[in-house]
Amino acid sequence: MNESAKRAYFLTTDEEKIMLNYFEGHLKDFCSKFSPPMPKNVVGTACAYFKRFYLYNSVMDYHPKEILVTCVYLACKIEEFNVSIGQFVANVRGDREKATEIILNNELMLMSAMKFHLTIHNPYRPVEGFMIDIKTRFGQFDPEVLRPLVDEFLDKVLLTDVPLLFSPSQVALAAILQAASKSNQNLDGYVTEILISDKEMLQPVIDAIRAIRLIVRTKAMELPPQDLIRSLLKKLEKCRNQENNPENKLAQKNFEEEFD
Amino acid sequence: MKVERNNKFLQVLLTRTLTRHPLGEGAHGIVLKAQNTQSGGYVALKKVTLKKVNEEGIPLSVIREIKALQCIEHENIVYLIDVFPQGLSFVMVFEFMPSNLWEYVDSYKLSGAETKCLSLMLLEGLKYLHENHIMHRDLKPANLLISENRVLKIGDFGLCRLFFPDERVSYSHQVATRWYRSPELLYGARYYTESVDLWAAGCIIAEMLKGLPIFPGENDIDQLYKVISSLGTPDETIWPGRTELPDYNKISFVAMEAIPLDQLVPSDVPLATAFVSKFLLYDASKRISAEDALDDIFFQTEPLACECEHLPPLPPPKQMHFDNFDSHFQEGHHSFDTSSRPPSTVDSVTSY
Repeated sequence: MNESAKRAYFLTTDEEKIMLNYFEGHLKDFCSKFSPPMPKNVVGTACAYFKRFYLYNSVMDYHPKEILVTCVYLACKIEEFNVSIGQFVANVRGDREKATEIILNNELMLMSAMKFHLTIHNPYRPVEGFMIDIKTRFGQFDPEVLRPLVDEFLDKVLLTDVPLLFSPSQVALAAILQAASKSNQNLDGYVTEILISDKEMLQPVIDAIRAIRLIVRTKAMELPPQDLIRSLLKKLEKCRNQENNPENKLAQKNFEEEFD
Repeated sequence: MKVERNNKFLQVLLTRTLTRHPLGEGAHGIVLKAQNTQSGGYVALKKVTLKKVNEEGIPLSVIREIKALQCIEHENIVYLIDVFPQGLSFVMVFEFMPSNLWEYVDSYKLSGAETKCLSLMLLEGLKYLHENHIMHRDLKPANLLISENRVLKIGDFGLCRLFFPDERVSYSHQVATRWYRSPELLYGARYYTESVDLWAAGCIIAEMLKGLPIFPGENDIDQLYKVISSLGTPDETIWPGRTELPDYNKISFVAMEAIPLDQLVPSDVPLATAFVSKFLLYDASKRISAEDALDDIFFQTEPLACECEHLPPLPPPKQMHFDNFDSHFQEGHHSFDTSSRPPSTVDSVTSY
């Protein structure tokens, strides 16, 4: 196979990125429609697992639709959102028995891909901390009015690389500042005088927050067009690693041989 | 799923040149002693077998244990060195702890100074856990591990749980080993606090003083009977809210008078019974916290706690040793002398 044939057969790096973006949206959708309603922490943790997993693995080796449900299932356990596997797969469209099998087969693999570091620090708790701090030490307006905009911002964050690049407290602060500026409230005094009075400490935080807001503004907008997704999904079906395809008899056989 | 061969501890597992013997059996697998072939140091491997797993995948208890142990680090809590998968199982690597408090109480009559030394280490570990919003839920002498240097460390976090002081969260009552289970758990409470650990701590300290378990119930009902016949029938002033517990109306005993605690826990250590009585209270909200217990006058009264180097030497291990690792698996089942051993923890926590 020459270079251009390879490119035509396998997914390119950019195409993998598009796929991941698409499936991250899918993951968020799956979580928001989940019954019983799923706490935000679970969604954040599941998203973090998904992002971390594909830092080291290829979409062609592990199909995102399979990793996606496994990430959410593991996140439910870690965040103590206790649903049984039956309850869980009731939220999956299609063959539930197959979904159960896929999740349980991938769970340990996912855990070890996370190097067993399963605790994810989400920005939701720091937001609560900032809320309390603004109320008690700043007090010029009630920060609760910012909440809908804060949630909206953090929702968009999930679709970007921000959770991989910045600390949760910085993300939380960026969300609050973004919400404040959108609702014409001024929190500059809180940040520069109350939160961080040391000028040298201040600059890196401001830079980080500016970068976070920029990424969220630009990246969260681009949703890949549907027909591109469809063609990539078809391409993936052909070029995916057949050893990891649960439909594949050969994979099943290898699996059994290895562990019997 | 390929085995990661670059893991240095895994090499320990795969080489045949080691001495390995089972240290005990937990709810989900076996515990093995292994030697690191590079450093020569010993570790304990807790192997969790997932082959016969229930339909829910990796047990929640295992996930909780890993999660809790990764975020805590304290002199009096056992250290989790590493976790790695192995085929359909996975292995948790702990620092190796040659003994535990159960063996100590069984082998020695502990002095007042020794009891205080061990109690302080238990309470330091417990204070740290509770400060970090973790309840252990299965404290018992066998889970209080003792290192070569005779430092006590809290181990086996398979039943631990994060708790949320401001929220009403329902927990399973099927926790804790029977003899150390608090009265509210015995009555099936689903809403309880970290004070279940303090009841257990009180039982353990009393056991060190007495040399024997203080409430060795033979079954759950007998357990409740042993507690009530010792501490007396509680009324609404001593234990408000008890009548609302799920199993309260399922069983009743004739009214009983409390036995004075110095008869229940005979001890010549000054203030010992007064100290223990601060833990063994029906009303969970009145039980002393680990933090306050550390400041208690008991520890400032002669005899003072000894240094841990002055604790008695490690008792010879009680359990069977297998030089041949494989025989353990071939036999599938082997018999320990279970008659004198405390009951084991209830299976797994699957209800919430």
